Amino acid sequence: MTIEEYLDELLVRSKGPAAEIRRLLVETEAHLRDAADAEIEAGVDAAAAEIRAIERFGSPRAVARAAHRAQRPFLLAALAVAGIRMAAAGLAAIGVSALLARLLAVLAGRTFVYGLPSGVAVSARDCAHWLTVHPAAASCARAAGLENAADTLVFHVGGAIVGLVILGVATVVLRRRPRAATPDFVPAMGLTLFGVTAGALLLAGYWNLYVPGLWGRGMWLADGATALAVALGYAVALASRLRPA
Amino acid sequence: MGADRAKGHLDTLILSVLSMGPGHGYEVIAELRRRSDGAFDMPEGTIYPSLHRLEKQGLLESDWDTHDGRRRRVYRLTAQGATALAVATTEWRRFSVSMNAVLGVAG
Repeated sequence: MTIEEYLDELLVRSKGPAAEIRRLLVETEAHLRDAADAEIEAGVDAAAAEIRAIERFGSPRAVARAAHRAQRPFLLAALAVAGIRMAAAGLAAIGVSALLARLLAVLAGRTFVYGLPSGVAVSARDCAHWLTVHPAAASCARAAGLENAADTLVFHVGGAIVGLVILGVATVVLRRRPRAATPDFVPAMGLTLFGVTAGALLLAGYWNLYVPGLWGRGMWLADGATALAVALGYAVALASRLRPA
Repeated sequence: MGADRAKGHLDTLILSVLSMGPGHGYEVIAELRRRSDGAFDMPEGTIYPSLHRLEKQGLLESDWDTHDGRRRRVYRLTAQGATALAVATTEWRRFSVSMNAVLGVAG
């Protein structure tokens, strides 16, 4: 086996972030050529010198395994950080979509955004509750819309703020941990997760879906548009990683 | 002590070699072999994952260096690495004193 063949096999067997693999290959090549030069200086011919240098270095399988084992704890830490960032993006998106829904209500009307879909049967108990909270509402449907708007603002924006504070603290704590590169597949995961969510939410808006506790065509659409924006952010990150250096 | 047993202490051995001054992987492994009089003759490729891990832990830092048209990563000990080496050395001394006492060997 020549040094070139050894490097090819090491590349095939290596797993992990591209930058780590590239670095290992560059260091391996310099090491093998230094070792081969030392053998040649000692009187060994060039072909035998390469073989000896490779034998002393260890098999590509053993080196790739050792490299993967050494990366594992850092890979787990990097995944935890990526997960936290993804959750932060999701929580921020929930807050942003609530504000977007407010804006949409100004433009398209409160009923379009928060109103009950026509034909949905709600219980008398729910109606009584909504009319008690919003006594000025002229009908049960109108009271349901007002209640939906109020709940959305409180729960979505409030939840997003609390979540972001918790994630901010977690990020500061994790910053003190050993450095780790974000795994290459994280943007693909983000794109898939937020892309599928965006598709589902936009379809829910198109169908004006009613789920007990969740309704409002404009709200579904605002949620879907926000998830789509986050998915596009991950798509840009993915494209920049795939672009050759 | 053979190369197999030395593997369990590879991090300490690397830190010890680099405490004498910066060096790249080939130099580190050559110095390990020289200092151990050939006893620590382990597969040379296994040193790089250890160097990378120690750097991520903040015990080493490194930079690229090009010499004779060959790129090499040169590693040096950080202050944190020097502290870790001091701790590991103390622990090793304690351990070897205890082993010697049990085995009845003069320290």
